[in-house]
Amino acid sequence: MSELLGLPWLQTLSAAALAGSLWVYVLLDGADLGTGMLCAFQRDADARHQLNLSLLPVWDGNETWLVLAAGGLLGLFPLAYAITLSALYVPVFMMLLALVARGMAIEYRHYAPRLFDTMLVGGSLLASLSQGVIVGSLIMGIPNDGQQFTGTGWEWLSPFPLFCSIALITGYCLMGAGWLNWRCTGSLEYRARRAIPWLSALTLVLVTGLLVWTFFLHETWRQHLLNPWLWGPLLTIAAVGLAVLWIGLSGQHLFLPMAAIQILVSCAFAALAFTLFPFIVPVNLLIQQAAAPVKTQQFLLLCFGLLAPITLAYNTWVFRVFSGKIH
Amino acid sequence: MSPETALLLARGQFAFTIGFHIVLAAFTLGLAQFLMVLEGLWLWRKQQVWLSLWRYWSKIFALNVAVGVVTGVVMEFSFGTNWSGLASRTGAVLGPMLYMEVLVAFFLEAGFMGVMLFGMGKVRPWVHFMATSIVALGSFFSAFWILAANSWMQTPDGFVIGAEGRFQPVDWWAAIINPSFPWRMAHMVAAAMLGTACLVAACGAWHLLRDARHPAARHMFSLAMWMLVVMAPLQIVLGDLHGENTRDHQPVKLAAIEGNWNPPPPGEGEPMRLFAIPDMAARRNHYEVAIPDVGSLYLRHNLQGTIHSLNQYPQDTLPWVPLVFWSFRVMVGLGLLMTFAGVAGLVVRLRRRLFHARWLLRLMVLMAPAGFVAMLAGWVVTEAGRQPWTVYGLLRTAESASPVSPSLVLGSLVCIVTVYLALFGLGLWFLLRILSRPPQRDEEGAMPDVARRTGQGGAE
Repeated sequence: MSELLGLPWLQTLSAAALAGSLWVYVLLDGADLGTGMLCAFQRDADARHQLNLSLLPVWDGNETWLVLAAGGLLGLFPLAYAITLSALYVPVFMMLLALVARGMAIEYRHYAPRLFDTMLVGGSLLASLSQGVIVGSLIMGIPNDGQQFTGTGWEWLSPFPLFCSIALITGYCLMGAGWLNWRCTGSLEYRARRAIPWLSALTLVLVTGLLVWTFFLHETWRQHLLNPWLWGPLLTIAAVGLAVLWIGLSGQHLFLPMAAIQILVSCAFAALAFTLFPFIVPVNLLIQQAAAPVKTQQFLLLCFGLLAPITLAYNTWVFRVFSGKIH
Repeated sequence: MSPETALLLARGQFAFTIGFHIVLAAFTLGLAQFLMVLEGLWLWRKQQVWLSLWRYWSKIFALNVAVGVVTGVVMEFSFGTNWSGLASRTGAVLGPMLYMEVLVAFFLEAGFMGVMLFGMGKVRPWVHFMATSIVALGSFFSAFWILAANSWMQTPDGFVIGAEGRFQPVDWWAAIINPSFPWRMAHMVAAAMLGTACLVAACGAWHLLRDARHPAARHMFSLAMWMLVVMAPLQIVLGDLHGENTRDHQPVKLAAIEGNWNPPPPGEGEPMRLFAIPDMAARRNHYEVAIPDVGSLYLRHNLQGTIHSLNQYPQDTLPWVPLVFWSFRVMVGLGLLMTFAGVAGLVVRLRRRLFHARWLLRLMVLMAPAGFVAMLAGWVVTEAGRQPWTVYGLLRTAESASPVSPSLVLGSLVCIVTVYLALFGLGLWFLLRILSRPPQRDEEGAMPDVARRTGQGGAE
């Protein structure tokens, strides 16, 4: 086997490892960031306290997947890392500073709840907004000459990336609502449960809008999105996800709605990832053009393959230690 | 804005962000080992005082790690935002090392930290001790990989330069265990321990000055003073070994450290310069105060040996000598002060006056930041001293920067400085508030509600 999906298999696997890390990041920290934003709507002191308790043992691990993706991008596709991050200079720094404020807010909350709750909401919102802008800018395309970034650094300040960030913020809030419904009790659980249906509807509309807009952005994206092997399976899985969500909500299940939301979010993630594939810096740099030498990718993938399952295992154990309803 | 100014801004931004992060990361490393020892003592001796000390310092640890982690995330991205030249040329070598740090260290720390901080009483005591030990081990792994990456840039090995000047790995072992790595690792780990010991000693001393009989204050002060008397002399030896490595691999840096513009007259050894004002334009020192021949003693371990001198090298391969020269003296001065304090602690301990020698207690309070200031000064020496290179002798700092507009760099620098100072000011204030109160007998850990209100098993 020398090729996989039309590329040398090592490079395809590298791209998959990277996408995989980002995917896990979105599933974990998306719910985390969404929970942070939903804190804005909690008036009750115990509700905010519960919300903080649900994040304390896990936020750090969730965020680590983002760092893994950044390190992975540097190692696997150094050129893409260099071009993308200098192009997205402003939103990346916005995101980083927001994450600094928010991480601190979670851990320090005990000492000044009102101040740090505000910081949590602000930080979560700004971080999500920046991530949406980053995704949007990637789909729009990064100006470069194949060696380095050639734009002004303000390309992200345009309607499409901003629309993407609205969609992402809504999606994250939906995941946050799923998390609160699963983990919390009292008014927090009740309100989260009530919010899930309309948040899902809104997310669905916004993501559909995003895909339609993407469809009209570039000829390549159009071709990819029209591929029945892309939309066929994804639509099927999304339909299953919606059904599960409906069952979960009407049957008063605790975890099922969260699982369904994660399925739906994964579909949206996969749709965008496969639309951009095989570009690593849209719309001109392909995966093989930015790939690190074989020796680097081999080393990295070997470590990832050996260590990622162990990582997942002990992180699952930690989740289990603090699992169940906060009482 | 001139390109030099833009480069200086980008360097300033990196120095500022890494300066904050490195102190937090080193404090994490030191505290993690300290907490492991405290918990071990608690499990072994079953004396309440060890548990209350553990809980007291675990709160400090939680607050410190939170900020340490998030400032670390900033670092992981800054090679792309500000140093895309470096990233695209060396990513194939440095990327995997940073990646390994995340995979083996960050996940380990993040995962087991939850159990360590909030899980006492939820898991069995030995499982909890294991979690604490894994966090401590994780902080070592973290230091290992990030220092391997830094050392590779100082003394690159195990690579070839391919198309478009890109560094490609050929021998991972040689790249990771590169010539300066073992010494840098040892020197840095010892520095982290010393920095932590100074802070713990200061906290203990502060409370002993108010109540010389406070048991928890006594225990922490005593432990920290043991640490100081063992580590400070050891650090001098490690520093000397690291210096010899610099002499052999980065001779210009060593010449800058020594302020050594010209070789000594024939037959004489290198002098030890106590004071000088290096002048880059005139390429000589002003107001030099030096002891002849003594320099050779620590540089070559004899009285006649010489080292390279700065005037052997063209101007555009020299670092800014005054910064390197003076930072080194700050580091060594503080190192000697810590050694003195450690030995003094041992002497008063042997005379059974450790908790009553008020002059020493006051000195230790004043020396609270000494360890970390020395560590930062050391980093200035090694990082400013390797300029104008990012990859020593091969890739210039000027070629490493991103093609972003200088106004963006300035803007982000202003934002980072504002946010960091505001948040860390706030964080430090809460930290000092906890430290200002001595550990109580029934000290609570960080957020006991997490244990009480989550998961299946109840809290203790």
